[in-house]
Amino acid sequence: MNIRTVLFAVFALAIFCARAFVVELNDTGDPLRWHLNPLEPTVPPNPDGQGVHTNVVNPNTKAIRYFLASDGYSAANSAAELNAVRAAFGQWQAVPGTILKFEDAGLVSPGVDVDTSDNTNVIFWAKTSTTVNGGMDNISGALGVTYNSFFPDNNAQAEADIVFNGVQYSWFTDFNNTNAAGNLVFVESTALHEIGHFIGLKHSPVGGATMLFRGGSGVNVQTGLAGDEVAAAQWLYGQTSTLASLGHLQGQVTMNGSAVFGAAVFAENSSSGNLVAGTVTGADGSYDLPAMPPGQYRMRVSPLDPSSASDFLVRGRDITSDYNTAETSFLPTATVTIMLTAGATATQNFAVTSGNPAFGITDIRSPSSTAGSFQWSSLPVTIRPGQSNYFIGVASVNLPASGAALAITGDGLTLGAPTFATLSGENFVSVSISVASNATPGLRTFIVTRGSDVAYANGFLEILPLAPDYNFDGLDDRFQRQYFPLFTAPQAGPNADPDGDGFNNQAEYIAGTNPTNALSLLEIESVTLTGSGSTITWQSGAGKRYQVFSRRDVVNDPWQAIGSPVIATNSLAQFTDTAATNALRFYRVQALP
Amino acid sequence: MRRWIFLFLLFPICTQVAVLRATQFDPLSIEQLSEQATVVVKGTVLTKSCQRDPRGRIYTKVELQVAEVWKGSPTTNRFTIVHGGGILGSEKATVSGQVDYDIGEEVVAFFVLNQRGEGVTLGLAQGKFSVWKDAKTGEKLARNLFHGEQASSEENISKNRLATQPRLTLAELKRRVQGGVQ
Repeated sequence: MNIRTVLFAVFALAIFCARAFVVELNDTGDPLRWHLNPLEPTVPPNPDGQGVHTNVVNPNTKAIRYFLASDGYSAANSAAELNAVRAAFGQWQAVPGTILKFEDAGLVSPGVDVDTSDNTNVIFWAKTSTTVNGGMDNISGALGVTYNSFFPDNNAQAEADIVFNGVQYSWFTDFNNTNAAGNLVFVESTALHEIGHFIGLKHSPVGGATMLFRGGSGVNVQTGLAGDEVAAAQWLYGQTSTLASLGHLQGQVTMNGSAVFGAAVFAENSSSGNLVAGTVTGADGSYDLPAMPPGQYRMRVSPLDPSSASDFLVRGRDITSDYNTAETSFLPTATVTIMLTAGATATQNFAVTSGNPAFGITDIRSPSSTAGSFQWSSLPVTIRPGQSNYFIGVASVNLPASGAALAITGDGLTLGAPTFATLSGENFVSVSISVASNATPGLRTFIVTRGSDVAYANGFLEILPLAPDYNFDGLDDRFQRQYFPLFTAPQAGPNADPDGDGFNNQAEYIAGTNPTNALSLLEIESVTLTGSGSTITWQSGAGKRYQVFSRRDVVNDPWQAIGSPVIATNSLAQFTDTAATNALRFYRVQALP
Repeated sequence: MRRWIFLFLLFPICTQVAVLRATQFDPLSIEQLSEQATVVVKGTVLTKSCQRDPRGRIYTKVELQVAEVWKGSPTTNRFTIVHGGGILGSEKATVSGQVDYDIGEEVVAFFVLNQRGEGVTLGLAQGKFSVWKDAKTGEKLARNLFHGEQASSEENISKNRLATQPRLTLAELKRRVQGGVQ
């Protein structure tokens, strides 16, 4: 019997309510989280201060340990599947300015089960039965389930397990597989989401958040943490200096003088228009958006969709079951601007108007280059900088069939006039959209207005980054994923030089060379003098740009660019200096970012 | 749950279906629930207690007074249900998406049986339908996460409201459960 059994002989049926959406708070306002500094709770036989079992948190490094079942999901791809889980942990750990650390503690044998009293955090795929946890739970219909064990008096977490459903779903790991659909589930997305629960988070009302309660097949919007999760991680696990550099938005939402429970509150960056964070009010109508970067924000309050809605974006029950009774009969507010400075708390209260919204948004029309092509769902959608003349929109059964406007927040967007269509009983409001190449990546909001009536789809459009960097290290993930089985591993970092060729990964990325091959580096292979000039040949990466420089005197002449940049088409690039036919010259090749 | 649909306005309609998935749940249809369940009963929650299993795991034990058996053959009219999580003393265990039973609640629940013969709610919270009575008609209705209208919503419905889940009467639920039982 586990040692903790003897500690808690008193039986109780106390109920602790979640008071905020992002985290579960106890009665004294402590969020559920791992207590890493100092380590708590102490679980015997550990001495005081050592904290939980060493299988759960490493007392020396204060890293949360996890054990992966060695068989992964499939026999053929288990190594990549386990690395996808590790990469998800790595992305949470990479959130800047936190003390959050994870440690791959090793593999456990296939057949392991959920057990939050065994002092071991395990992650595994259930593959023979959807009944888990010693025969106490059946996870049919769930992609993944997270089990947390903690002490509600201070909400210190003691252990957590994650089980993925390998019985009913097929899983894949290739980030570049854009054709994955149907029943294929991207391991990294689901792992990111479940690890959010693992560290204490609940579901988010923000459309493009990893912690949204649902996602699409394949590599979806949940891949990569959103600002909402970054803020949550920084608040729960932030370093002292990090928290000091951030601000805190708070306030209360009331209606006719009474607190509004379950109102969704959002804050977006005023300049970029990106939705940074969202939360839901507690029973007392209060909300907190801590760990917000300083700056000017536009804030608004929206009702969640009714729990009885058959078409919806986010209902109260989709946050947690505690929000099943969220108040939804009030009108969305207009936007309020508020300035937040580092280390400060800014208060913004909202008084909402009672009544049912005139209309709402329940579906998002996916961007299409064809005006007459409609593809829609209640999932967030994405578009890339540089995409022009696409058509995008929103829909529901009660959106206006005419006379409304559709706006999308943020910079870099050019929208056309609204058009209207009715399909499958839903009214669509659409616009043409062109995204500037320098549009700020992030989550944008659809806004439908007609007169004073308004409806929002908060954070349901993501402007994708030109180069994904989900582990916040400044290096393009696609390069890291190409050359490293675990793109979040230290050897994949920008300053590492795993092949020892003197060029770190950042330099190899710019040069287009292979960071794991010491023979692949930016180096002039040859200079050949012919009658028509000097031909310089160097190792290159297809699509990369290079500039050739020359000088006549190695000491006294400055380097001078010759010709235009060369765009390489394969692993060797060439440039012919037609002026170099009869004199000594020195050459240099520079890779351009 | 909505599916992906393509429509071409000016040309013949082309439809493609793909999956929109709950990260936490894929909605199980009543027919899927019925097919996967070993036991389906209607009953009332009598008691609920938190305990530890022999390994020390916290779990919740629920006793259900069975009124009707819609599928399977429970041996008594007092049916034992278990699910992970609960509070014991100063320790709490939670499970994302877990079912919750309230004492006195009337439910229709879908179970598989574990090795001890206890009922395990199918698909976590998806396997439990709460039963409620329409105050105007006296008709009994049922709802779970994805099926049936919520009890408290009726008075809030207005012409401007978004589409609500269709009402699911207890009789209809029973018919669909037993219609799928071979």
